[in-house]
Amino acid sequence: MSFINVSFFLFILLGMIIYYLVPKKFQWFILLVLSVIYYCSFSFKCAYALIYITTIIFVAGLLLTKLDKDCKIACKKEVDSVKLSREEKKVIKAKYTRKRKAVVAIACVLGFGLLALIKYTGFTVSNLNAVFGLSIKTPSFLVPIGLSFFTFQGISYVIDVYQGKCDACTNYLKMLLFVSFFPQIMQGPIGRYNHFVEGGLFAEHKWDLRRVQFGAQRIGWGLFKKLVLADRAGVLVTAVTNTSTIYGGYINVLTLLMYSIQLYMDFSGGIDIVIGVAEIFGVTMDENFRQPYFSKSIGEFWRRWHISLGAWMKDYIFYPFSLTKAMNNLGKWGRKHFGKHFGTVIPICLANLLIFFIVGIWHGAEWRYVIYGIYNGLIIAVSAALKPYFKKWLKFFHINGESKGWHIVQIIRTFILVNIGWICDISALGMRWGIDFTLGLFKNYHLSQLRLSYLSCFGLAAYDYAILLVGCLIIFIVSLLKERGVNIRESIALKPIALRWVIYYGFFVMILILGYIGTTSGFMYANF
Amino acid sequence: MKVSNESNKLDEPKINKKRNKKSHIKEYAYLKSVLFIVGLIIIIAACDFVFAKEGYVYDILQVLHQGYEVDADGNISEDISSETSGFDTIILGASHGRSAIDPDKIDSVLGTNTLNVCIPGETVKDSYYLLLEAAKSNQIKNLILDVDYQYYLGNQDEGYFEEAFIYNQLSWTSYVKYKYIIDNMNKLDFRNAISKRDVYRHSLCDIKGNIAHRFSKAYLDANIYKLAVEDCGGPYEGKGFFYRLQTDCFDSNFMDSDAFSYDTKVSDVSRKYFEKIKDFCDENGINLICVTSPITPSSYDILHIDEIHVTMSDFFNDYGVTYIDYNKASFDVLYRCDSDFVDAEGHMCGELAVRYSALLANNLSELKNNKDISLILNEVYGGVN
Repeated sequence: MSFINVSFFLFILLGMIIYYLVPKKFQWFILLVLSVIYYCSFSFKCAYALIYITTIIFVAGLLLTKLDKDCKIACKKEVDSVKLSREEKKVIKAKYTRKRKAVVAIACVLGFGLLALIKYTGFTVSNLNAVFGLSIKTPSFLVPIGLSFFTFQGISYVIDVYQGKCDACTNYLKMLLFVSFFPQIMQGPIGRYNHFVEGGLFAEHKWDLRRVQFGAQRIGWGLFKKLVLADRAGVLVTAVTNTSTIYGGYINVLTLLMYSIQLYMDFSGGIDIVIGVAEIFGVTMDENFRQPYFSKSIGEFWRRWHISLGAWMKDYIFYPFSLTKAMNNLGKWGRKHFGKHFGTVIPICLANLLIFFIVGIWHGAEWRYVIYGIYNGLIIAVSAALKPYFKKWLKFFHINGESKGWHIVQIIRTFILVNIGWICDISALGMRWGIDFTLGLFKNYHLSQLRLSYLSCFGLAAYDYAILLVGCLIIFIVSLLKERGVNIRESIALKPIALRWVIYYGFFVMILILGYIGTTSGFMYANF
Repeated sequence: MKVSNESNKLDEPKINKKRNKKSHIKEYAYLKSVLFIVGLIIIIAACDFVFAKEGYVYDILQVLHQGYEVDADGNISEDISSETSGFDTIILGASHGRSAIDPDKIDSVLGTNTLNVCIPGETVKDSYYLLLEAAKSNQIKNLILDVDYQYYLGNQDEGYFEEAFIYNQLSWTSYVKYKYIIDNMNKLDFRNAISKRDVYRHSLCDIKGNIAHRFSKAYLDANIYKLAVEDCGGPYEGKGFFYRLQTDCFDSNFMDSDAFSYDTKVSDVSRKYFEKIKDFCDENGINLICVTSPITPSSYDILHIDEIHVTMSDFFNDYGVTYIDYNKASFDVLYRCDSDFVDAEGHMCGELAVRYSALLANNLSELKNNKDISLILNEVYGGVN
C-alpha cells in the first residue's frame, strides 16, 4: 500500500471515519487494527517480526518495573525492627541494578540480533568468503518492512523504562500499537514512547476539522516534494549512476546536486505524509527534518537531517559510550599527555566515530555505507579536535565568525561535504565506480555538457529542469521562512479565503500536472 | 438569590447567542470544506478538458457505448433502430488484432454485428474490463479474443503508470470504472484514478488542439473516419478496423524484446485475467473463441513460434477454450509473405487482413454449425498440428 496508491487514500478515509465514529476509548484500538492491516498488506509473513519485537520489549518493560519495585521493597525491609543501613541498601541496589542491566542487555541482544541476522548475515558471510577464501552459502531472509525503524524504536522504549524516563506499558496491545503505528512504520521517524504518549497515541481524540485539514495539507506538501521534485530529479541520477560510463565534469556535479534534491525531497516528503496522516488521527509526531541544507557544519547537519536517528544515536550510544569508565580513563590519559582540550575531545571523537559507523551500516549492509558513516564521523571528530585552531585561524584572517557572510560560507562548505558523502549512496555499481565518479569531479569539464540538448540525453527535458528550478525555489523560500520561525500553515490559515484556496488549488494542480510519471515511484527509505 | 436568578436570566440570551454563533461558524467551516472539494472536482475536470489528448481509445469506447457507429459522413445508418441491441460480437486484443480482423467480413458470413475493440497496447487485463464495458450497453453473444503472445508470456507487469490508459477513458457513470478502481486500488496511482493524467499534453499547441478537438463534430459523433488516429497505418474501414497500407520501409527492428527469452508458462497476471474473461463469458452465455492472427513469416523461427504455439494451445486446452493459431495455417489455406506485413513483429497489411478475416469468418461459421474443432484445425494447419 504505497503512499501514492488509491488504496492508501481510501484506507485513510475509511480509517478516519471509523476512528471518529467509535467510542473514544476504543480509538487506540482502531489505530492498532489499521496498523496491522497496513503492515499485513505488504506481507503477512513479516508480521512475525513485529510480534517478536513487541513481545521482547513488553516483557522487558514489565520485568524492569518489577525489579525496580522489588528493589524498593527490599530496601525498605526491616530486620528485627531495624532499618537497613546505607551500605546494605547500596548492596541491594547494586544487585538489582545488575539484574535490570541484564534485562536491557538481553532485550538488546534479542532485538538487534534479529536485525543483524536478517540484514547483515549475508554481508558478513560474503566478506568471510572473500577474505578467507571460503565458500559458505549466503543465506537469504525475508526482510520485514520497516525492521530497522521498529527495532530501534522498540529498544529505545526498553532503555527509557530502565532510565525511568517513562513507565512501562502494561497493555500488550498498546505496546503493539507503539511498535506498529502504521504511518511511521515504513520510514520513521523513530519515535520515543513518552513522546508518543504525550503526542496522543493512546489518548481520546475529538473530531477537529482544522486538525484534519492541516493533516491533509501536510500530506499534500509531502506529495508535492515527492512527485514533482524527488521523482523528477531521480531520473537524471538513475541515468548517470546505472551505467558504468563516467561522464565527469558538470554532469557529475549535476548528478550530486540532483541526488541531494531527490534524497531530501523523497525522504522529507515521505515524512510529511507520515506526520500529516498521524495528525489526521490526532497523533503528534516528532519532526525528522529541520532545513538540513542550512547547516553550518556536519554535526549540525545530523541534528537537522533524520533527526530521530541522530537523537537515538546520541541518547542511546553516544552518551552511554562516552560516559563509560574506559572513556573516562582515556580522557584522563589524554589530558595528561595532550592537554585539557584533547583530553576532553578524544572520547567524544571516538564516540562519534562509533555512532557514525553504526549510522553507516544502519543504511545498508555494504562497505560503501560503512565508508559513508566513517566519513561523516571523521569530519565531526576532526572538527571537534581542531575547534580551537579554527577559532585562531578565523581571528588570524580577520573573519567575523558570527557574520552572515561567514555563515553562508559555512553553509556552502557543509553542503559540499554532504554531497561528497552522497557519492557513497549513489555508488550502487561498486566502490571502483564511486572512486571513478569522485575523480570525475575534477576533470572533463566542458561547457557543452550544460547545453540543454546534451542534458536531455539523461531523460529530462528543458521544462523538467525549469520545474526543478522553480520547485527548489519554493522549497528554499519555505525553508527560509521556517528557519526564521514562521509557522507557514498557520500564517496561510490567517490569509483571506480566496488566497488560501489559490495556494491549495495551485499545489494540487502542480501535483496532478507536474508530478513526474515514471518508474521511480517508491520511497527510498521504505526498505529500511 | 433573587438577584442572581435575574442576572442568570439576563445572561441566558447572551449565552444562547454565543452558542448559535459557534454552531454557525462550525457549519460554515464544513460548508467551506465541501465547497473546496467540489472546487477540486471542477479543477480536475477542467485539467482533463484542457490537457488530456483524447484519442482512439475514447473514440472506440464511444462507439461501444452507443452500440452503433456513424458512417464517414457522420450519418447514422437506417438499419439502426430503437430495437437494435447494439453489437453482438466483439473482438478484443491488441494492435495485431486491429489490423488483422475486419468485422465486416465476419458479419457478412455470420450475420452478426461485430465491433473490433482491439487497441494497441491492450493487455489481457484491459480486455477483461473492456468486455465488462461492452456487455454493459450491448447484448454480447460472441467474443473473439485475438491472442498476442507478447501479452501472455514473459514478464507481465501490473501497476506501472501507463497501464491505466484504457481505464482512464472509461466514463465516471460506468460501474466498470469503479470496479477497476476497487480491483486495482493497490496498484493504481491516485493521479490516474481521479484524472486522465496519463494522456496529458502540456504544450500550448497541444492545449489548443485538445480544446478544438473537443468541440469538433467528429469528436462529438465519435466519427472515427474523420479523426486522426496515431499509428493506424491506413484508412479507417469502420467498426474498429484499419486497412493498413503496404509500406516501402519494412521495420525489421520492431520486435518485442521478450520474444527472445521465451517462456514455457503463461504469466500469472495474464492467466488471472483470462480466467476472469472465461468466467464472465460462461456466466453470461457468451461464446468465447481465441485466435492468434498470423505474424510475419520470417519471424517464426526467431520468435520460436512453434514452441509458443504449444504453450498457448496447452493453455487454452486446459480451460476447454477453442483456440486457432493462424501462424500454423498452411500456406495453401492462407498464403502470406513478409510484404503482407509492415514490420517483423507482425502488423498485417489490409490486403492480407481481408483474406485472413474471410478465412476466420468461415471457420467461425463452421464452429457455429458444430463442426468438430479438430477437423477445422486439421484443415487450417494442413494436417500438421
